Amino acid sequence: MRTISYIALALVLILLISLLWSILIRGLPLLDWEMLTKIPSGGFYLGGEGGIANAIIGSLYLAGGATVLGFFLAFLAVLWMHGGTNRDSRARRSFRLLATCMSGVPTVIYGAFAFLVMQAAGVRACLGAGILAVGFFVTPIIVRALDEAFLAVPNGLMESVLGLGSNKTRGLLTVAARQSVGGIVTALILGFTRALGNSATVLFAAGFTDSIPDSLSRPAASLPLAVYFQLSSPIEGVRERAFAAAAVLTVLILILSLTARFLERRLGRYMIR
Amino acid sequence: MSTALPATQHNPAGAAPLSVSTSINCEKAQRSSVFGNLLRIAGASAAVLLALVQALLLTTLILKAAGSIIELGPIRLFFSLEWRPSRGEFGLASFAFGSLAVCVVALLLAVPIGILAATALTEYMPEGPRRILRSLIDLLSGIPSVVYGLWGVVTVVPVIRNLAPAGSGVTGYCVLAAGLVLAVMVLPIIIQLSCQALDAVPIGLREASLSLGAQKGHTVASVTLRRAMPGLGSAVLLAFARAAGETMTVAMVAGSVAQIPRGLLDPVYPLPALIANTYGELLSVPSYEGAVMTAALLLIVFEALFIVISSLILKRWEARLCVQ
Repeated sequence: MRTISYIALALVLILLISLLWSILIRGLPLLDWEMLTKIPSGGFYLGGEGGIANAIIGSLYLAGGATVLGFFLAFLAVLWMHGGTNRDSRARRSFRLLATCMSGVPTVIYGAFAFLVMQAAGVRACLGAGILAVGFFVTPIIVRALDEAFLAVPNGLMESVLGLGSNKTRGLLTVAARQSVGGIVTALILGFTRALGNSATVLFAAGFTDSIPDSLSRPAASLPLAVYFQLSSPIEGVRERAFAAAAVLTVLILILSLTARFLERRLGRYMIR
Repeated sequence: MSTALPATQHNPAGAAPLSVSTSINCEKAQRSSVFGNLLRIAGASAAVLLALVQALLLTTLILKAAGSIIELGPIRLFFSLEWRPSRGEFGLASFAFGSLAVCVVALLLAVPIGILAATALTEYMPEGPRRILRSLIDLLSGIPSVVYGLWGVVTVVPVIRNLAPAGSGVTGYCVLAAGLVLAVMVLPIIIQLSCQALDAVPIGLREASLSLGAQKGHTVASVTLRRAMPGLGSAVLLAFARAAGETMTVAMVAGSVAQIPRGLLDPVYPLPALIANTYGELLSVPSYEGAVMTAALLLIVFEALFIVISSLILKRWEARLCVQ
């Protein structure tokens, strides 16, 4: 049992590390100043000049907007879930179930749904639609993470806050939110990384473009789609850029996840357990 | 009682500020309670908004799918293998089968390896390296699917193509490649959740088994893993949901040929890849859209069915194991 399980673990590590290695070893050397800061110029898809700045900025816009929207909705909903007299009332329980189910809906279905809605509204693929669609995709994920963070607040703590004469809202906002601030930051970063890595929803809702969007009604490029589209190019130089985009995406997400872990530990220092 | 009474008598002036301050507190509490009510209303409407979006999503898909079913007939839609949009043939059977095949291969590869690796992490490994490896796996679970797809295209596909017998026409884009890449993608999730399930097994159970003379390996296999079964089951279930809905990796690696695969090395066309690849084409052929939305609905129904069935199984397991 011991030997087999160690073999399985070694296999997992070899696979995952080979994955990281193969992306980073080919992608990182391609990252120079031009790749990171220039948008594709005329002959880009024939192996010409330019970089992937459109995808980097587009992705940050999309993920940033979606996270702000998703966090706003999710935070309000979670305050409602924990704010009433009964944490486990029927409505709250069913909302929790709904959030769980929604976070299981595949990304491509959000994309197809966004497409239908946009078609009905006569809107073409654009940054605003992308932010909305991805926002609704990350909201249930953030709801679940925030719910977990607030559930970790001990009941006795809230009871003592109420016992001192505070009302429930103030207790939630000043004591429970401070108590779970590590979890809240983690939820925020988790939402951002999930929005950053989402490709199937963005494909339908935000489209792809070579320029950096200057308004919400313009299409926006994104890193995952830059990988997807450039990989299918027959030209070697363009395919290389898929690796550059993948390396940027991977490094960004690894840095964000590390930050989340660090902040969770750091901010959780004064938690009452 | 007798000591408290003179205290107020001696200091009657002290009582007045006290009562003022409590009344201020009451007012403050009252005011922030208005704010609290507003917040509660806002929160409830956010929750309702989410529920509405979900309901709208489902009803739109159902309406579109119903239109398509009425137009084409359920048999031509669900059981036909023919996918020729230009001739008005929209058989979804091969796509559904493709999804199923890829998921089954992925889970057959990922579940045993993942659970064993989690066992190594929780049961055998010393504290120090365990913590490092678990953080590493947590980190890797955040890597987006398109990166896994890229790895599949540049690593897994060429390996399969080179290993296949020469002249067999195997391109490497196949069920096996897609299953393998999906398996690697869900491994971090399976390991994370299995570790949680194994951590939740009370240490006393292990100690009891060891003190009865059972060996460590025996204890792990027939006490720890058995007790953790419901948790492991839900890990597998979540992994399946992830694998079935995963789009970009399968769109990149599975080969996108609408057929029933005859072997592991044949290309397939899973449902999510179909939906993603119709991007831009939806308007060109009439009733194309309905067929694609039926595919989307089919995907949701698959996932829901699987989740319901396995949660029923989990409940029975839990009851049998008397887990509190």
